[in-house]
Amino acid sequence: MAKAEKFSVVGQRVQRVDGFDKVTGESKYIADIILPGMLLGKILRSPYPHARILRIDTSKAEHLRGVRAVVTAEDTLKRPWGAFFADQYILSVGKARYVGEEVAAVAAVDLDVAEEALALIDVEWEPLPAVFDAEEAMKAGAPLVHDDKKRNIAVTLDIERGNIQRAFAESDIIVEDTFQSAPQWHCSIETIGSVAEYASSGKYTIYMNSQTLFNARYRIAAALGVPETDIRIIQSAVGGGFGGKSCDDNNALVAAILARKAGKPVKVINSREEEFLAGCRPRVFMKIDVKLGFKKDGRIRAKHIRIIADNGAYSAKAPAITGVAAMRHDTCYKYSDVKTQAYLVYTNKIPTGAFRGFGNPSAEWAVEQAIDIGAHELGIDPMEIARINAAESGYVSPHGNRVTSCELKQCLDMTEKMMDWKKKRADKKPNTGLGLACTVHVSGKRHFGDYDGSSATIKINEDGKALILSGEGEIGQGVHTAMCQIAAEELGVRVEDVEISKADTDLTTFCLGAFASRLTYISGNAVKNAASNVKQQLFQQASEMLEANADDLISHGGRIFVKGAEGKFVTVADAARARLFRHNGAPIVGSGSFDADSVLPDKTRFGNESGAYNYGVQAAQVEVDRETGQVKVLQYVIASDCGTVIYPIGAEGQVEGGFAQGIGYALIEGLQFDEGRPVNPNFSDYRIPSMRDLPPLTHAFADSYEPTGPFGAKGLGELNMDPTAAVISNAIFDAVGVRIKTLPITPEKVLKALTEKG
Amino acid sequence: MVKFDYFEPKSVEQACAFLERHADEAKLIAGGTALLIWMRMMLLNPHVVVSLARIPGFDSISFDPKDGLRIKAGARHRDIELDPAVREHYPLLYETFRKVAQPRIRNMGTIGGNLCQGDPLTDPGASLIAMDAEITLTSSKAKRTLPLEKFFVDYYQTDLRPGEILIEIRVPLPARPLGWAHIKFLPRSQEDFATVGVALVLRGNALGKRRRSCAAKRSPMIESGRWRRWPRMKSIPWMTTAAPPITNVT
Amino acid sequence: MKRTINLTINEEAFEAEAEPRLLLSYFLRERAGLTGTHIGCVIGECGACTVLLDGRLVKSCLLFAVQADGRKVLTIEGLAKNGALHPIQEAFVQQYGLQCGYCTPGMVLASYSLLRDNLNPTEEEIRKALGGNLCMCTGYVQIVESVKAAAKKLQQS
Repeated sequence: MAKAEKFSVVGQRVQRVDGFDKVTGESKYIADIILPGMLLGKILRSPYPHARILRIDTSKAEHLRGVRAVVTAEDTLKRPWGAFFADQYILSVGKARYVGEEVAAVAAVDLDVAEEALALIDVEWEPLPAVFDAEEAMKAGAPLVHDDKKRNIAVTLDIERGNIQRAFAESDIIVEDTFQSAPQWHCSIETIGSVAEYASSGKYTIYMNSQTLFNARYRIAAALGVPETDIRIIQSAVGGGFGGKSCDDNNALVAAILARKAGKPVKVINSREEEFLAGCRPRVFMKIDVKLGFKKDGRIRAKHIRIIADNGAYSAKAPAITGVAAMRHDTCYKYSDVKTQAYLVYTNKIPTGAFRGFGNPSAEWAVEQAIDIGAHELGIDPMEIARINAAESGYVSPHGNRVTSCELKQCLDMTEKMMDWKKKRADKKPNTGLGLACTVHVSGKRHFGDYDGSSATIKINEDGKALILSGEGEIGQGVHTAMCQIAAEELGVRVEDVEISKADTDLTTFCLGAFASRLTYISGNAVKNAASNVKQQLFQQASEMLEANADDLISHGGRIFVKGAEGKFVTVADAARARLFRHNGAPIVGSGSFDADSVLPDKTRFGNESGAYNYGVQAAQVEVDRETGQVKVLQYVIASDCGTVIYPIGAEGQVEGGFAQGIGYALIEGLQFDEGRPVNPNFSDYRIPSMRDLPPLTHAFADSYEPTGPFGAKGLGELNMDPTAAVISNAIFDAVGVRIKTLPITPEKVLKALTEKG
Repeated sequence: MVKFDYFEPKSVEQACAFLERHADEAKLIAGGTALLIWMRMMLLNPHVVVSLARIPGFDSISFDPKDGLRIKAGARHRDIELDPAVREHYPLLYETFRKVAQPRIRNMGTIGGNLCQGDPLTDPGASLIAMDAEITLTSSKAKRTLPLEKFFVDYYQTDLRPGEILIEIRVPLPARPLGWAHIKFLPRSQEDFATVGVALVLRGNALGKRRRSCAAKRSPMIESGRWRRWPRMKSIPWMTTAAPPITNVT
Repeated sequence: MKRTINLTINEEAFEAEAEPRLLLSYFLRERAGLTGTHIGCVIGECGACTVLLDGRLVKSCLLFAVQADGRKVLTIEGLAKNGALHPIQEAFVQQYGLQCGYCTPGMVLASYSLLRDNLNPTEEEIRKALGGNLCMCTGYVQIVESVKAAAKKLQQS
């Protein structure tokens, strides 16, 4: 149940802490980092989807005026690395497996010279047979992307909970269909980049626009064969992440080896084309067969899902993403009997990976459409089907996910009201229709070892202001503001009196970074604990000054006083100064940590993967132009359950931004491959939503409280794009009776379906 | 991008002379919005770039009721959009030019550059053809005037001959009453290039009659397919079965 | 063949040498040290490198620096005066018209150009004027709100 609590900083519409730097252009993004003597690096990429390297001659490039270093695999340990499977190299060893793979690199005095040098590197290639489609790749006799991966399969999942055969036998109707999801690129307006420096002592300092600094350090250390301490990663301002900047690519590694060889700092920034070819790892594309069994009353009795997922040439995060697509949605509705089978398959294309939603948008694209098909076949309002099956607080999914708070039903009520669903359904106009889908997401996910935690340190300055030291970097989403609010609330000071550091692996404590909608919940808890710790130190000092028991003190608005006697107080600043000056100058520093109450899933992938689950409902009203197939979204509605909203204006931005990416995924974005080569790797041919493309959006947050969250909060970041594509497709079906089963939903596809339907 | 030498002639004659001297290796630049992209993609690698931007009067727009509208090739899309005579006498052109890309592209790109690029995805060509525009081209040797319709040969192919510079576009004053429309179909995003664009002009007798008697001007510009694997125009039936609605009569 | 390029940037004269192939966006960043002009696509699609050239809004990646020789440029660094934010910048901070901030300088300058000519724009006019600026974070809602708030501030001042 929702629990009302009154806060003075949390939930207030505060300004973001890094707003000024951004409106003035002062923020230093990765391209703005300029070091003395710095060189610029460029990468030579494979023009072939699969080819053996017979010979590389770099001598001409080395002799070009202005070139300071040329590197190939010979300058590396030839040691594979990767997030879950070590299967990719810094620079191609022996062969290249996709168009865009890093083969060699150059550092030169400027970019034009570096580009000229690339053209002088002579590579003798032997093109090999390649495979581009995951299903083809699984067939016997298909070319092998990695010789040791039989049938190109990277991961197989085959899990049954309950008795699926019996459950289907007990179902009144069965819905069965196949849906194809699409790749999607993050399209952060800032591309991936790094500036690396190598000191003769053996230490690398790398500026990165990464969203996961310590994970990046771990992987970079493994690939370079040095201890983690020999690598310092400093986060620049980050121009958007969305999962794309989680260090699954080689950009920073190439910069590091160039810097070592050249003896000078080297900057490597991806061009937009490189970003599409081999930068951020795009959303895993999947072919998904769904079979659902329903009872007549609308209850889902059985679910069988079969996924073939395209891993691309190397494994980034796709092994975990495949699991999410296969299982996560079973936490959205009350399921008893489920079967899930998934294959993650290598192909000669760009490695796929983490993107906002992490498998959920693909799965929900399929499953939420299958549920809609069931609703139509049963003649039940999709809103009712969702209500009948919706998860509730206390629900434990068949895979062991334990739901501590869930306001999905409240979100359905809110959506129904905001959309005026009943009235619109009753007065249905020709060619317009309503669509709905529900979603669930985690607040952190335990999969990088048996840890899903965070830590933070708070230092109180002599003027009483607090500085949070945290390695959980800001990537644009506004989490630093939320962390400052949480610290301010706990300390009883104004949010203006709390600052937060940049993330820096040498100066901040171990943190996993921005992924899995985890930061508000997990780092929020760590910050709250650190603030509580440091507050006790201040209270101890104040208790001496106020001649009161420390346990009787509270703080509010920068003052510490005895509960019920607000007239008698000391300011936090006075207490801080007094403590610093009276205790041998001992620093006022408090640390806090938090590890979610989740478990590392076992071999059968059973186990509560996250500390808290966030829920949401989205609905659309669309109009379809029968002459052109153009879909116009007339109205869009979102209700989100993210527990207590810490930073309202930021949370609203997360919903609106996630929704925009959802619309892009549903209607606009699409990369075309021709024999493994992206045909449209730029913003004029790969379109992302512009300001004029987004329909009117109404959204609201459920009254919700997560008992394990900081002040009742849980995650939000990914929830908002997960179900959007399914919502739009469901609405199109309601409008004109055709169902689009491949993404994106282009006018051509709608028109073709309408023509076929007649 | 390749290294190149950059010249800024002060007259059309000088520009023609540069072109003649550097024959195959020179490219003209006016606004540069399209040329730059092609050069960055290494699709064009000229060793000499000749800018027309500093030729006095090369961006002027003038109107005379008898002679019609004369747009010098260096006029920017935005200048044409904002020109009072265009707005008053050529509403179709106003409607078209205000829909080209976004203001900051219109602030840079010139009409001459647009037409000479022969890009079927852009908007002005069809409307100018529908308005019976004619263009004047000049070289060191000769000057010629031809209907714009004849200038477009195929995708990205025009009748621009070596050494020639497009210097002027003339649009006769249309007879009134005039019915007109310009619509484009944007498949994905509002900021996209059109899949199909149609400009339509109806004069005198055609007005008020049934739609199929309308004299719709079509040009190569109205057909376009963006990606090799995406369906082309034939899959969009309204293109072949119906003309755009005539909502504007002036 | 390098050329000397003279610009007036943010009302100050600036001179530097550059090859003709250097784009204005890189000239501003690398020669003039004004890194608030951001690079997002270099083909004129994202709008992160938007500046004003002789008072007109342009994308500085679609222009060689030599083409701007002798002309006036306004970049994001030229908006705040004497340490005080321009009302448009204030509005973007207050209305949360940004997340990662990478597109922000372009958004602010496009708003500046719009509001200079039209102090009372409709939502549609705002969306048209800023349609050439891509943002992947915000879904644009709060950016539009920021422009509306900026218009109000400017009307009052």
